[in-house]
Amino acid sequence: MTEYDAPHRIEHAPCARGCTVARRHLAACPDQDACRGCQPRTAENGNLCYSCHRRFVNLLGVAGGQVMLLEATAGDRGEYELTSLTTARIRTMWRTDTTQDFRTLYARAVNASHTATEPIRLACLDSAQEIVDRLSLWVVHMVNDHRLVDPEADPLALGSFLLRHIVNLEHRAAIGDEVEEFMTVMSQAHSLAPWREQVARLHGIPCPECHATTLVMFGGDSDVTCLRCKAAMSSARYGLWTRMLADEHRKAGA
Amino acid sequence: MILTTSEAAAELGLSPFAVRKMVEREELVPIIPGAKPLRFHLLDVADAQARRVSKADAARLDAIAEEWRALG
Repeated sequence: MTEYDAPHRIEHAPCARGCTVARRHLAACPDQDACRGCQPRTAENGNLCYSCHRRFVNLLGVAGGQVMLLEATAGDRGEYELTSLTTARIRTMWRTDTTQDFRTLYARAVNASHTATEPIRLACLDSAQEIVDRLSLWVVHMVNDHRLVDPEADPLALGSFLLRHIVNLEHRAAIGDEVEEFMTVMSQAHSLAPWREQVARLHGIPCPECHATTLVMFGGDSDVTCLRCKAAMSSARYGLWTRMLADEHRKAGA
Repeated sequence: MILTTSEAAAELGLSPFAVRKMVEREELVPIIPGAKPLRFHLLDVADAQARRVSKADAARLDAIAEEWRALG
């Protein structure tokens, strides 16, 4: 939302990713029955709508972990699989009196995915690098444009840095395309090294935008999201919505 | 999210038999048509559900949603 010189005139900027409101149509919509909704969603956070903002924040939060998971799948970083510890006496010799980690004497590095073939391993490494490159590019822009101090060159640190400066990041002119590209990269990364987020269904409550009962709450998130139209609302707004539905139901029953 | 026939029936407020009839009438498309047991994507069930909402119910929900938006 941009306020210009005339205070009475507020221009609603659309979401840079081209999101639309479910079941709301533009006057020029040719077929309102077939169309699922073509009215653009208002950008509330910089150039992004609230739903895209929430998704972007979530992606930045998990990007570091996803890189670590990809590296573990590729075998670059992973847990050591310990063999059974020996009870035999180990003589002091060149292998045991050095400064090397003793754990590695009993362990061997294994791939997290035992069946990862070479192409998959390379795809994992490429995908991890793509994520780091994307995060680094944003950090470079942020540091140069706003004269900030560089964070550490670690995916987790880059993600945290960008989350701290998300307001400036979301005001970038090209953020729509950049987020789109980042989502594609993260989606590929997720298919290579999958992990599952806990999802709690909110049964029986219709979405205020599309009326489908597909509202969910993702683990660790306080917001409620519709899986069908991707609309998002805070838990307080959801509470208000359910109360209003219950009131209406009570009125209809009386 | 993948649903069984009973879960899809619960979502739509119908019986599992009615869901199978919807599949026969091609009002609801399973993940693998013809395969048994039937499995459905939640979003396909949501689409079918949206088509079943009557105009009066949709208008009532729209009115509540308008009021809800005005409060925010």
